[in-house]
Amino acid sequence: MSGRNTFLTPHRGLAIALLSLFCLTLFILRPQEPAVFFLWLISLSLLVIRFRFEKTDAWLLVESALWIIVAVFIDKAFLLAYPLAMLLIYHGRHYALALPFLLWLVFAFLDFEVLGAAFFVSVSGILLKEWKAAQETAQKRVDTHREQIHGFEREREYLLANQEEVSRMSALSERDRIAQQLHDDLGHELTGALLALRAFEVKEPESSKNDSFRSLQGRLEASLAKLRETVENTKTEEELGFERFRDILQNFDYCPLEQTRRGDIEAITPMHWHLLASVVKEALTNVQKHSRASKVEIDLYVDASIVRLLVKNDGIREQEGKDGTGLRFMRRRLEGVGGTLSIHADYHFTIVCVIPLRLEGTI
Amino acid sequence: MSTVFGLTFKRMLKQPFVLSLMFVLPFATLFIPLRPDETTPRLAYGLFALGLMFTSLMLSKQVIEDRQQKTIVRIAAAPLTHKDYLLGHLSAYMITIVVQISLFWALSFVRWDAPASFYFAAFAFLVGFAVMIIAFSLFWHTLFKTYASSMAVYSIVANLMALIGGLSFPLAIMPDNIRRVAVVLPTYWYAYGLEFVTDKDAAGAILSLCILFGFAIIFLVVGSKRRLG
Repeated sequence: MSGRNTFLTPHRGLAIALLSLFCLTLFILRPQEPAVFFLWLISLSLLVIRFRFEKTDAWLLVESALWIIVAVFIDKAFLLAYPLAMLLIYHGRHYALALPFLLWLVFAFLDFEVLGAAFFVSVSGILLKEWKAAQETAQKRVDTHREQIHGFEREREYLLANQEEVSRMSALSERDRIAQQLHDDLGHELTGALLALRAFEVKEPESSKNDSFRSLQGRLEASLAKLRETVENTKTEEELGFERFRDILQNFDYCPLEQTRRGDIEAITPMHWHLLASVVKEALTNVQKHSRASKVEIDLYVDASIVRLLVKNDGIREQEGKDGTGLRFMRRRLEGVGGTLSIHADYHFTIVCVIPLRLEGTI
Repeated sequence: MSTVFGLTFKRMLKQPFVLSLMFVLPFATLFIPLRPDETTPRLAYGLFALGLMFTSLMLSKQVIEDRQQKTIVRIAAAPLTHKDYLLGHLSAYMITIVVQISLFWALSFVRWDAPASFYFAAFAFLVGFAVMIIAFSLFWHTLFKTYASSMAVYSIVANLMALIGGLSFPLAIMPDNIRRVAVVLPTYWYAYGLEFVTDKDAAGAILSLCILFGFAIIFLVVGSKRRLG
């Protein structure tokens, strides 16, 4: 499709064909008589009104019947039903193909002008209908492509945002690890040294009079205080990994939630917890929004090589056979690290997420 | 609707040229004398109808200007339906034209000595023609983007319609071939209706009037579609 707006659309083509047909009808009817012209004008008005305001097929057939009845009194007035037949053919009602020929047979068998008009109606109607169908197919294809492009764009934005989030998470978890190590290793060593110094002071009271001893003790105490302050400042206030996962489960109050944990939970890294928290958040949001569930079950299982999270609810699934955007994005994200996300919607709605313990690629 | 109606009048008053033209030029037809074989002033009424054709197009200038200056887009965003906008405009034009018609009709009553039945029927025809021509002007403006181009083409088309339709000469001298084509023009049915009135054929006259209203419906249905661009 070129992006150019074309003037000639099937709808306009139909308008032109109908106008031509009206001119042809006018030529055949030769309506110098005001009554005949008035009928012709009424027929045109009804058609114009139909172009503005949609009417049903039943109405079209009633209108055609009206013109056929008028034809009994006014010669060839049945021709005014021809535009209606064309309109019906255009709307895919193939039975209307018979109408012009039937009227010709009944009312004007030897009149070839009328036969020509009948052919014009049938051929134009079919051609216009095919044109409309072809245009609709092309339009549908363009719409599908646009929808796909839009989907990819959203996915890209989501993944980019996620990438930033993961970088931030990595930095925060590294800070946490350093704070932990300072506290556990250096802090314990310094405390040990200070306690040893105090024990020495108790054993040798004279040592406290020694300037070097006092200075050493003071510096050790100051170092310990400084270390405590540093650890306090380095430790993040934001909840990471498991805490976030736990909080999402605790804050869920839509329906009862049953959770089980199996295997070596300690083997799950902060990165895994981050992914699991995102999956569980998405799954529980879906439960709240769409499922009308009365119970949710969550099962977390860890073995030597994988972490498996299963979220199951007993509610209904609104969009049968079509994954939500959030879950689709989640699946892409997990696939990026070698994981999988599968959805089963047979009896219960179940989401199963499997992540390898050894992450690959980028999250 | 009443707001639009009032504003349309106010805008009309800002067009003194159009107003003076509509209340001066068409009245020149009052000076056309009756031929010895004529009993009714059909030619004067025909030419007055030609004047009406231009009057209504000039009055409905506001509609195309609103589209041209994008005022219609702002109106579309306002709590005002398109139906109210159109009704306000069209009724204001109709009232102005009915005033013009009434004035002409009253003066013609004094000017010519025709049968009273003609005057009553002719008034109905003038009103019918006014309704049709206002709807036609609305439709005509939808075909163009600017008032200048609309008016330029219209001045040719209106004169042709008047000529072929028999507004500027008696229908009796119209050749049959032209008559066959002229039936599609509303002007023909106005002239034809006046002829029926002269011949005192009530059925023919009423049918002609109905045809004028039929044309008005078609033009109104096509022309009333909202166009923002």
